[in-house]
This record gives sequence, C-alpha cells and structure tokens, in this order.
Amino acid sequence: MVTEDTGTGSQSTGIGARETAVSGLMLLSCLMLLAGAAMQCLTLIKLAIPTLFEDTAFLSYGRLRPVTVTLLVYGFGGTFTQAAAYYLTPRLVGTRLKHQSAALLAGVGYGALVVVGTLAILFRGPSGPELAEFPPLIDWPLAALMLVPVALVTSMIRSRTENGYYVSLLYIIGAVWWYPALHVMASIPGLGGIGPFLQTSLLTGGMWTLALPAAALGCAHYVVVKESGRPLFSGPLARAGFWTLAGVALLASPARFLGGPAPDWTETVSVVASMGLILAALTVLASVALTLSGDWVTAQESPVIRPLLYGTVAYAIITVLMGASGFRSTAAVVGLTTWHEGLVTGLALIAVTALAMAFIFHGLPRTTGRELANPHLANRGLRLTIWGGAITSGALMANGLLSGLTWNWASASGARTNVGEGFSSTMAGVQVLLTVSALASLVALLGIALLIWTAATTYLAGSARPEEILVSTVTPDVEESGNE
Amino acid sequence: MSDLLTAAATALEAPEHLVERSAQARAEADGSTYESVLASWAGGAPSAPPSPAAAQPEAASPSPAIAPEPAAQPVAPAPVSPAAIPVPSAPVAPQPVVAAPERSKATPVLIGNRFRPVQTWIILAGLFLLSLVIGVIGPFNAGGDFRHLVSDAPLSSLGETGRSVYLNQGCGYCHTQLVRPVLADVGLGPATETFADSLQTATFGVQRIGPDLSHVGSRPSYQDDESEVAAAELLTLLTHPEQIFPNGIHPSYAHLSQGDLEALVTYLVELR
Repeated sequence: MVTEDTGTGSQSTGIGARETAVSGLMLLSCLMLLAGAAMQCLTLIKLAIPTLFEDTAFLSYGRLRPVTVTLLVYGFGGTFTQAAAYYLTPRLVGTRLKHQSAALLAGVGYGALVVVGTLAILFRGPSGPELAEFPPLIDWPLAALMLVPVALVTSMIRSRTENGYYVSLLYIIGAVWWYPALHVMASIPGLGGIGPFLQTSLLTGGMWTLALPAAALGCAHYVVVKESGRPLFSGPLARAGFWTLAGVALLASPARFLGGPAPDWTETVSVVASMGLILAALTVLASVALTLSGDWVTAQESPVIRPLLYGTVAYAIITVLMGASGFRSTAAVVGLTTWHEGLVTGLALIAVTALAMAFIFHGLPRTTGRELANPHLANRGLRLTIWGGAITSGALMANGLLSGLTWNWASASGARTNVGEGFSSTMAGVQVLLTVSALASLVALLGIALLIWTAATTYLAGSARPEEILVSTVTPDVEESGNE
Repeated sequence: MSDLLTAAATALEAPEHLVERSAQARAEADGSTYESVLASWAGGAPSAPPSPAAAQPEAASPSPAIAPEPAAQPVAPAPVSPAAIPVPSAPVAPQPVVAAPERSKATPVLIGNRFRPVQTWIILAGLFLLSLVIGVIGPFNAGGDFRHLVSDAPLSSLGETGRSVYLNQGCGYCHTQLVRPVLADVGLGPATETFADSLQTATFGVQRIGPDLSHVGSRPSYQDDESEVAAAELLTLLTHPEQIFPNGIHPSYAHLSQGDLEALVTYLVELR
C-alpha cells in the first residue's frame, strides 16, 4: 500500500479510499478546541472577576473550570487522537482503514458524549474529582467508544504490509491505548480511604503528560519528515524519547500532590520519574530540532513546520517545568498553587494546539484535495496563539510562584497573611496577574479561532490540489510474510 | 548518472541521498548494478516499484540502516510522477489508481528495525501496570506506612448533605482540604488524615485560589481573633462575602437554596 497523489478534487469518490473519518474528526477536534479555549477564557475571566454572573450557578468557577479541562483533554485531545490515529496508522503500516463510517460514527458519538457530559457538569455539577467529573452514566459508554480506535488501529496493524518501526506509530498506539486505560482506571469504584486520591493523581498526571500530548508528538515526528523532506535525525533517539515518556510520565504523576497523604516512598519515585520526564521532553525537542537543523528557512516559511517547531519547543519547556515541579523543594513552594494551572494551560493552548494545527494543516489538504487556504492568516493566528497562550500561562505560573513564596514566608514569620488565598488584604498582589492571564487568554482564543478558520476554509473552499489516495496493492498473508 | 538519480528520486518522491543509498543496497542485495537499479526505479523497469518506506523517510536514520527484507516487503504500484499529475483548478472526479498486482523482491528498503506490535503492546501494558502498582495499588495497601495519623470524625447527616453541595458546587477547584507537612502549610492545623473509610478524597481539592478548609470549623473568626468562626459568619461569607472581605474575590452563593446553604455551613463547621 502506498500513498499516491492523484489529480482529484473534493468530489472524488474514487476507489472508496476517501478518508472521511480523518477529515471529519480533524474538524471535530477543531470545534472542541475552540469550545475549550472559549471556556478557558471565560474561566480565567471569572477568576479575575469572581463577582461576574455570581448569581448564576453554572457560571461559577467551580463549574467552568472542570468543563474547560474536560473539553480540552477529553474533547479536543480525544478526537484529535482519533483523527491522528486514522491518518497515520494506514500510512505507517501499509494498509487502509476499512471501516471509515464506523470510525467516523464512533468519533462523532464520542464527541457527542463528551458534550453531554460537559453539559451535565455545567448544569448539575461535577460527579467526581478532577478529570473524573462525568456522570457515571457517561463514563462507561465513553470508555466503550474509546476502545473503537484501539480496535481499528489494532486491526490495521494486524493486516499490515509494512514492517517499519516508526516512532510515530508508537506514539499513536500509546495515545489510543492510554486514553481508555486511564479513564477506566479512574472510573473503577469501590476504593476507599486513600484510593480515590491515588486514582486521581494518576489520572490527572497521565492525561496531561501522557495521553493528551502523545498523538501530537507522534504527528510531529511524522510531519517534520514529510514536510521537510529530510529523514528523522535518529530513529533510536526518537524511540528513546517515546519509551522514556511512556515509562516515567505516570510515575511522575503524584509529584503534583507532593506532601499529600501518600506514603513517602511514592514521593521518591515521583521525583526520580520527574527527572525522566525532563529527559523525555529534551529528547523529543532534540529529535525534531536536529531533523530540521540546517534547514531553518523552510521551518520559518512553511505554515506547517512553523507551528510544529513552536509546538515542540513549547512542549519541551512546559514538560521540563512540569518535571522540575516534581522535585520536593519546588513542590514545597508551587504545590497547590496556580503554577500547575499555568503549566497545563500552556500545554493545551500552546504546545498541543500548535502541534495539532501543524498536523491538520499537513493532513487536511491531503485528505480533502484542497489547498491550505490563506497560510498568511494561519501564521498570524499562530503568533497570536503563542503569545496569548504564553502570557496566560506565564501569568498563572507567576501567580502560583508568588502565592507559594508568600505562604512559605508567612509560615516562617508567623504572619499568615497569604497572598493568593482570596483575602481582601492580600489580593492586590495577584489580582493584576489574574487579570493579565484573562486578557491574554482572549488573545490566544483569537489566534486559535484564526487557525481553525484557516482549517475550515481549507475544507470548505480551498482550491483544488492533488489528493492523497491510499491504495491497497496486495492482500498479503501476514503470517506467511513473517511480519510478526 | 546524476540525471538518472534525479529521475529516480523524482519518481520515488524521495530525497536523492536516500535513493542513492537505497539503490546501492538494492544493487548489492540483488547482485545487479547500481545504474540498473536506478534506471528501473526511474521508470525503466516494472519490477522495481518504490516501497512505502520511501514515502516514509522517518525511519531512515542517518546511520546506514538499509536492511533488505524481501520476504516481508509489500508490493507497491509504480509511482506517478508529480509532473504527470494534472492539478485541476477546480474539483474534478478522481482518477482511480491502478495497483501493481504482484510482490517484488526489488523493493527498495529504507528501514532498519522491524516493528513488533505484540512486543510493543506488552511493554506498554507492562509499564502502565507497573505505574498502577507503584502509584495506586502499592500505596493503597501500604497500611501502616502512612505518614499521617488516622482519625475519623464522622459528619452529621446534614453535614453529609453539605459535603454533596460542596462537591456539586465545585468548591474544591478553589479550596483544598489537604494540609501537607511542609512549611507553607504550617498554621493550617494538623496534617490531613488518611486511611479513614469515611474520608472523601474528592474534597482534597486541586489548588488554593482561596484558603484551605481542612479545619475551617475550628479556625479563629474572620472578624475577631478571640472566638472560633461561627455558622452565622460562614453563612454571611457565602451569601454576602463583601461584608467579611470588602475587596476579596469570593463570589456570592446567595443563589443556593436555604436548605443547601444550611447544609453547606453545617458541613464547614464540622470540618474541625
């Protein structure tokens, strides 16, 4: 099976290889991202001006915040992971996604369930701890729909005609697998005492550091090669990055709650794993940057490589900071402050968004036979997203640092006038930062809207270009080929 | 020679240096000449179609990992030169692509490592389970290994209702109930109790936009330091927060029903 450019347009039905599931899920993930970014704005505005709409229960921070995180992690991350899996897997294993309709239907059903779940959180309140807030009635159907990509990817791999050991494929396998695994793990009821706390730690850490960025990183390793025309700098280096991430990200999870009720030795493990997380992030950055090394002009000019590069750099910086937050000395200062909120905001709004848009700008033209519409607008959107997201994230982190330092100072001095705890006498220090983050999130939202507008106009009205058609050339007997 | 290489690279849609290396490996594996391989790839012979790997240079690391694996290679159709592809100015009907019908041993191979999905899944699942054991199951069964003291202060039934209101309103996104044995938490009361069956870890919270509420029921009054915080004071804080903190950021929850407010206040008072 190969990919072929044929002179086809958007009307093509061809040999049935039109990747409707991929393009449909790409657009769905764009909508989820837009909704998540809009809710993020509202959440931060609410944080800066808590008295706004204070008589409306569903517009309280306690409802908006879980809705935002759920939309970004489950909505945007989940649908994007499916789109990436259905695009990359056929190309990497040399087979075709045979069940386009099933894939699209499951993806849309998944998206619909996420929307219903978030509406339930918004109007009826969260039903559990962070990232496990969906009502129980939603949890298990959602888990079942998460298994569809696992089954389809497995099916494609089983009928593969290509034996290449591609790091992108590893990330995709990991991403489609980690989502249901983490979700099911967190949905298991009946653990008393400290159990739910541990489940929550693993769920939140795993979703942010592992499941959400995995598909985006897989796409980055694929797109950088395809767009630059250069081979990956080092396959072993890239694979080392993946396995390091897969090995340590979950173990680093309790770091956020360092000093919490878990036994001491879990802290030691998470500190060691945090160091591994830093290594993994730097490896990913090195892998992409060295591949592009010497070809920075292309990187600056290409509407695909630019977001890819910025997204990778942002991912590396944020993940290094996440790892550093796991050290005891750091956690004693920034733990339970908005520092972590700043990191995950940056991860979602800058790193994963930029990588996802790079992938969509690469894949959408190939799956729809439409030229990328208005790359200039896309670049402008990228700049706004990066700047807005960076200031939003930075202000929240600065707020967290300020809060943590004053808590320590107050405890040491006995004064107990803690900045960032909502008391009137201490609000001046953080009010400015919270306001800055809210304003900057509006800029990021505008940037994301421009990026999504570019994707939408590409889909709807882009000029025709060669469409990539997947062609199955053989129906090999895998066992005979000795592929296993 | 370079024309031939360029033609082959164009036909394969792969960088010339990769095509060159691949052709050398293929020539060596087949016992043919480098030129004949290039010629066949450039369109001269039907027996040398490109591998999907050629379209996936990702796996071609700079290290010379060109390993012929003829038995496992898929057969691909002859490439369509981009120059031969008409790019329509408007959407047109698709051109079916005819696939080559047979396998070939002459496929250029640009990959070094073979993908072993079963092993990959086993390792991924193993890492996940290991994390589960170390992160959840191990600590959960650790018993006496816990650092914090165990005690259990049961809530009244109204307090239980109040806890539901607390969770339902998302109070845990601004307030924690998690006192850590760190300098920052000195003065917040005894460290958080664990291992009690009635412990609701959902109330541990996420971050502190507002103060920790672990022992809010036994904290000094916000208005005078002499007495403990009273239910009436907490009710005022919930319904008219500006009367307690004129420039504070706590929003009003006056929209809650009287019953919910009473339950919530009872719950907070019982957090001692």
